[in-house]
Amino acid sequence: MIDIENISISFGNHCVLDGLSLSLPLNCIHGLVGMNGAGKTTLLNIMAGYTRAGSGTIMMNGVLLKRDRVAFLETDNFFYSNITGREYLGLFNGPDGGADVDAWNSMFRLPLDQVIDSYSSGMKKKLALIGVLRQDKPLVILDEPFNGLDMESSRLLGLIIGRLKERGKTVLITSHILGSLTGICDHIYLLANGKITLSRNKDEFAMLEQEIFKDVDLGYIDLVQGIL
Amino acid sequence: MIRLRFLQLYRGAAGIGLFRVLLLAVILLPLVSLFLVQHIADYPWRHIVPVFLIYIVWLVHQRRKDYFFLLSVIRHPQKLFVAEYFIFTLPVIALMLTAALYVQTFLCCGILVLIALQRPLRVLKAPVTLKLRIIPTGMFEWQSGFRKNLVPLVIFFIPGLFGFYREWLSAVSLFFITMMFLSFYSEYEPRHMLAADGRNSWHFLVRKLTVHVGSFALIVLPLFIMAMIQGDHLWLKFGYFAASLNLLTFSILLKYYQYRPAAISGAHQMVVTLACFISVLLPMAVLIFLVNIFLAAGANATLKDYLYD
Repeated sequence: MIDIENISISFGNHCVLDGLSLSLPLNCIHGLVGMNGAGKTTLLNIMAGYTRAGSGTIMMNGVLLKRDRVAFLETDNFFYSNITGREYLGLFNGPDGGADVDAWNSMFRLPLDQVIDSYSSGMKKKLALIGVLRQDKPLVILDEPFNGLDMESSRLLGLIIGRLKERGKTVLITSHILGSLTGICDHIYLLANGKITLSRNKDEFAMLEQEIFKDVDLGYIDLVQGIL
Repeated sequence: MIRLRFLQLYRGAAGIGLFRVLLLAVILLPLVSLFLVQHIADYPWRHIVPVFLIYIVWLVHQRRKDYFFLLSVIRHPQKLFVAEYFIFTLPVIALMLTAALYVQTFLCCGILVLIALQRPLRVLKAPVTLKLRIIPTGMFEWQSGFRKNLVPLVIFFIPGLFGFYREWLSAVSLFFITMMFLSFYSEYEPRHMLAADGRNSWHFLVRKLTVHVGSFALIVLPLFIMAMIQGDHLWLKFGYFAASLNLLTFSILLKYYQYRPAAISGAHQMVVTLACFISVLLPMAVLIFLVNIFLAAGANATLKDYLYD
């Protein structure tokens, strides 16, 4: 179990996470949704050890969660200029010892011998994803992994995430698009006002969209009709 | 658009810091310019100045990423390029006129206009990827740096091999090669690349320094050996060889001392260039060595925030 307990963080006067607590069962696929600025990425950054929380702890199986147990795909992927995809992947020595980059690439068919600067944003996302997968960590965090991917690659990513679960990994995914999560997640959580305000299991997903958007729709329908 | 360029420069300068900009603008640049104005007319190699200027502008022009953006906002970006290149090369053009290089200045201006009028190569074709399998995995700064600077590296390295004939050839070559290698570390990798090999901060730094400085020593060793063939000033030559390794250590430590994920540091470039010039006076290289000790502790502290400590 991953236990997130009483996590708070503020940037200036703006409180992003306010005593957030959440328990994530291991070996499951967890989805995290929320509006822009809700604090999803901040929470993931704290879990990955990139940001220090103002207060609170994150434990994995009763032990403090450390950075070396987490593989993290960030929303925006920056790459060092003028290195090739193969050179980039060579940095991540996974369980195969870093030897079989081409086997990994057979999934996405990237031009690994070209410099990454010439890649499209979707190709960069795929490359970063292979880098994350090669790290073979027990907790895999994917922040907006479907952004910039074409339909085929999104489908493939869904299969990969399912396979990670079969291999005993715990996966946490964020997305702005609920539909991309309902097909693959075991649990989905809504982050709003710095806390988890809604938590649903797979068998409760049918009504989830309605639950999340009922208040939003009420506010926006009048606004849209007033303008258009 | 020119006004926007100056605004960009102003904001860039603000990012570098007031003190460093003042140091550069008020003290160093006028002093260096004064020195050059006084000496360039007598310098036999002064004709290299226009060639070097054209080469730098050509390099900048070919790497422009804003061509399509400029096409979408102004009708003739070439006019902007001409204006930009003339404004930013004005000090060098003035220097050439001071050195009575009138014909060369006229030709140089003409070539600058021609460069500005052509489409940057970068927008015409996909970049050619130079294969660099010989550089070990993990030395991504070198992979990137060699791709960016291969031609000038070769141009400056080959004359250095003739140090057995004129030892100053090796000295000049070592200076420029060191300057280029120092610039490899101005770009900071994203944090997942930093953390890729799973080491803690101190092990990371030690390995980085060992591998990079060791490899650099092998590269500049031929220049050192060629210069040593002429048997005089041996300690001086050894001093400059050690100073170049000291400078590379400085560049790496400075990078991690002020590390920010996925950034390019103009300040780093400026400071290492300054350190390179300072080290020409060998006793000052000792000062850089002492600074390195301080930087090592600072870099270790910075990396603790990003690695597995």
